[in-house]
Amino acid sequence: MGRALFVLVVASGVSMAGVASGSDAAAPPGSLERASLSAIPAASPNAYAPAKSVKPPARIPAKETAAGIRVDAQTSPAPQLRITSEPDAAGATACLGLNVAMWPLFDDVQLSPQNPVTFVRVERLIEQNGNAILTLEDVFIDPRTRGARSLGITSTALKPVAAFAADAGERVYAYRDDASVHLVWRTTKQVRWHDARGASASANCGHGHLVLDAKDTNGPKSSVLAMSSSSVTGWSGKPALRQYRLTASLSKSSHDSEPILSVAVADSREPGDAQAFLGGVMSSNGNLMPVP
Amino acid sequence: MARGRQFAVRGFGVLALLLAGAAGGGCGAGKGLSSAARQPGGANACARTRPGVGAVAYTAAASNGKPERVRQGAQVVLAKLGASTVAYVADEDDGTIHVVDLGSMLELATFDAGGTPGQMMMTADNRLLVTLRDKARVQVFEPTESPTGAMVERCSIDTAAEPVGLAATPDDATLLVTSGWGHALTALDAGNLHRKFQADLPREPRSIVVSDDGAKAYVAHAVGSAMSVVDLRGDEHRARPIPLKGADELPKFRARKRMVQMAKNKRTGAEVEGNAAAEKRERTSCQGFALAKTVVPDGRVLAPQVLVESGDTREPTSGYGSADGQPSEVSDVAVIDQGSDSPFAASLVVRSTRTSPAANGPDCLLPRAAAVNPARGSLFVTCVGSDTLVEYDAASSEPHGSELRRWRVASGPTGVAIDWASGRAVVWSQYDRVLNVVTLGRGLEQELSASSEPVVRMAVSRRPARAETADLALGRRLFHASSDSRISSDGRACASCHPDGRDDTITWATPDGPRQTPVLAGRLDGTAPYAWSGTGEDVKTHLTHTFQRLRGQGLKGNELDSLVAYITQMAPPPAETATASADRSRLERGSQIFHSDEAACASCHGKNGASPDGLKHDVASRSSSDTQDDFDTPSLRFVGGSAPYFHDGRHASLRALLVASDGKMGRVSHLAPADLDALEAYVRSL
Repeated sequence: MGRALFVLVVASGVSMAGVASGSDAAAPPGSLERASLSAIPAASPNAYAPAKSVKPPARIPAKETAAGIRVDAQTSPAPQLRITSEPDAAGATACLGLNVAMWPLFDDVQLSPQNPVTFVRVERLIEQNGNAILTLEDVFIDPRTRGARSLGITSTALKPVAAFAADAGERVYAYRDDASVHLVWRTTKQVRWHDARGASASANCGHGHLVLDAKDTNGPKSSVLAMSSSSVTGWSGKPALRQYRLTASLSKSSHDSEPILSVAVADSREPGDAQAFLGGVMSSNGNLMPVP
Repeated sequence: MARGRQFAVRGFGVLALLLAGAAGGGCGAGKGLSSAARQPGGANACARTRPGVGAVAYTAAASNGKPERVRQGAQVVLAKLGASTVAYVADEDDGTIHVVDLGSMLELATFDAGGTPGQMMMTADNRLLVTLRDKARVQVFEPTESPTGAMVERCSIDTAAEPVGLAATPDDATLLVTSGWGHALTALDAGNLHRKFQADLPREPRSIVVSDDGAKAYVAHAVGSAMSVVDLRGDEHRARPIPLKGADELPKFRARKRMVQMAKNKRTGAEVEGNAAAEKRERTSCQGFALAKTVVPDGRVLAPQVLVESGDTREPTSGYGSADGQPSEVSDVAVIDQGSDSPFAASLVVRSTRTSPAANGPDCLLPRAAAVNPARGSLFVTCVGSDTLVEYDAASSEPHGSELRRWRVASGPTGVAIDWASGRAVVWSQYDRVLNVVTLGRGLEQELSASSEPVVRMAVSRRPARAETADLALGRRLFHASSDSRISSDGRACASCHPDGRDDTITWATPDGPRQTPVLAGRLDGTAPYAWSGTGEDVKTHLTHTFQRLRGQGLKGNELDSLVAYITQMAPPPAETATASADRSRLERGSQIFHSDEAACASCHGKNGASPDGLKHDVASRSSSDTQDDFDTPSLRFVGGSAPYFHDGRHASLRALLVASDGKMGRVSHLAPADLDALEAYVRSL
């Protein structure tokens, strides 16, 4: 696919408030916008050697640290190291993952003190003045010394492609690289999602990150089932959690000169209303569980 | 059916209560045709006599900004009548067309359709075509000067039995008609309405869409796990199948469990297949009534359907279908690439994440109508049973996983049209006989206001009803009730396996072994006992048994009685009448053979195959997983349109059945080829 242009098609659910159309201005919901995906920024070229292509050092001295990365020792329930990020100026923490290709993101990563040097990716979604960037920092952590070494940090401008009307109206952003289209969105607390192959993942940090494989475009699709922690009143009068859903697909028919990205957002206007979405959380096996 | 007044009840939703002699004759038999001009005598014999007056076809700006007319049939057709937007609604129950002003929500007029209307479509010159399912013809109406939008009959065109779907090519040169029972696609010259060609199709074709370039017609089938594509250009118009089978992607733990189960299965030898079957489990497809095609992006055909997991027929199960806890039927929207005529693989996959009941409400197990809103890039599907209108992302490679919104509508939504310009969907609910106008919204403000009162409902007028109607109406609702725990535990409705009261062509795993779904419509009267094993002494007993096998809680009292009444009075498929003398003589010869002592067909199946002996016979058809040797003699009524055959669906055709059963069930080996042809033709005509 390389840097080939895409066509972006964004359809919305009841609450979509923004689409990509060549400008950052949010289009009204209910409309259909098309734009070349070239309007969606490509990931910034790495200014450093990607972690996966760098052989981990055998040892990182204890005195070596990475800015904004904390390595704390814990003794309970078992001896382990807890890797976290310092809050940014807006108070948001980063999302950490142990794998570049998959995005189970967490607000911390725990390692055994006996582990060898381990790769950690640190993502930060930064929204400011209507613009958004995603910073990616690759860090090696040596659990034995608690040393940390940053391989480099890069930032990518993001394009808003959709937004939720619920809660604070979080936006969904996109960027692309050679192999994938990435969707990133702010979430209050916890999300779970399922990728095109049915695998589930979750995040309990500040944002979700969904990756669509852009190499195989004959019908691949990823979907997200996510839940925000906003407390609202359900139909039964009891507090309920609003559940929203973001689905995205990338596909190409023989009529299409380039792949079609489609992003759909829907959420529950009436929490707990079976007509919209059942009030519940998606368990790892895909079954809806009642809200506690 | 021979009563003072005639009842015709279609599984699909037709509750035709026609006074004898009204609307041109009886139901179901294709007889009693009106005296209107049947075939245009010349090039313009069916042309408009009042050009330029009355309603005009609804148009709205498409993605290219050019106003486009809807070139696909539906039970709701929009039109402009002066400054007003009106809906023409095909009322199957009354055999009428209603005209409703969507602004005032007033019914302006009602006129006789001339039979049981299926789909309607406006032509380029604003004539209204109406398929008459019970009359084997398309009725052509012409607008008049009337401010009510009422139209008058202009002429009619003969088709194969049970015309249903309509479409036009993009150049408006060709009109297309599908015939359900007649399993045919008829192409008509749009100018003079003369037949261009007729292509044979597999069973039960329904809706049609034409490819963007006008070269191909795509046809949905209510049964059979495939849609058809027919080349419209050139001299060959053979139908090619596009398989639409799906597959479950099982989570690994379920896959392992299944592998263990299969490995334990000593009869099946499934150990060999276990690894391959573990990750994906095939599902057949069914309920292909509706079709639509995308506008942005273009080049895709959208086929709402249901994916069916009917269980491993090599082993008896505890109910109808698999007992592994997965839903037997799940909704789906297949996406077909117009260029390659192949489906997007993702659109046929049942993710492990959605094999549990749909998170956003009852699953759409009886999709009946579809329309695309190009202004939004979304697909609207009406779902009978759950009585919902569901909006999907039409641009997704997996629309069924991208549900956007849904609305509750009145019972039996069988038609939908989209008023693009005004941002509303118009849904016809046949069972409640209500027109629903759903505000879709065009901006955030409208979206929010729409949420408070999104659906306006208007009941249309009707012809005088009889007391029995209430019971039959209740029975029809129950027959189509999906996600009703009284019927089944996994959402299946009676109509899931018996679309239009017929059969799904599927052989299910059951506690007794493999069982092919039988036709119900027109086959129950005087044919007790019921079930292949003959365990149902009457319909009520058999229904109770069926609920148990579907793991439903069951129906009682008036509800059960109403369901029985509906099932036993469903309109039979329309009979096809031989007209050529050669055909008649062949059928006569076939009848002689059928009733002869040598062939001995009638000795069990009775006269004309319609009065079986009520006994069970061992015809050497026991399969490895059957629990018995002998099977109840079935009625042969409408057998020609209900392939496959035998209790386990082992024979794909009547000829195969006749030949393979020689000596086990009657005799045919003594017949000359012409006589075997005659016997087959006769049986097919029953």
